[in-house]
Amino acid sequence: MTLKQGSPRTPGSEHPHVELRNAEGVRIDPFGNPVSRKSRANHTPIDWDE
Amino acid sequence: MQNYDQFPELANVYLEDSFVLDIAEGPDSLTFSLDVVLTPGHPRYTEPAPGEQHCYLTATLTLTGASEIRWLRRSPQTYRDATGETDLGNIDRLVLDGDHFEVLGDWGQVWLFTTAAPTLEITDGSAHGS
Repeated sequence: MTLKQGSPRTPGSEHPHVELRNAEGVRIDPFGNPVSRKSRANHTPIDWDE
Repeated sequence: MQNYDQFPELANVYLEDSFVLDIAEGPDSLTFSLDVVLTPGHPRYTEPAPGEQHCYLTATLTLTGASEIRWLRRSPQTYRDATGETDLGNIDRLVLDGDHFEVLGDWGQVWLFTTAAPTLEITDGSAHGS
């Protein structure tokens, strides 16, 4: 997993998000489904606890 | 310390979500082949393709003129996606720190002792690079 801080100059990545990979190095979504690297499913937003 | 987005050719890209496809090392240079993320200020920027997070184009990012290339860490790990394409991860940090650039990502961490500005060449002729 890689945590991304995000950048206000990049639409779609303004906020912190993560990229997930399984133990085999396959890019996955939070449910474990393989995703393409450019897809929105490969950019999982972080929900902070209130 | 100078972050990559302060260099003219990198002012309108977002490396942290760009994908490293290959790294080629020369005697005094390092070239990263990328699926690079363009930000709206880039002249080649278009709206992301349907289903994609960003505007991606293939490109090469080159740092040259190094008197020394010092690898602090290097990883052979590759990542595979649902389409079968592989990559080496992202560039999570590219800064000029005094007399050297530090470049860091899943693939490793390297110092290049040069102050020459990085260059970016878009190698993709299509709108979205897919």
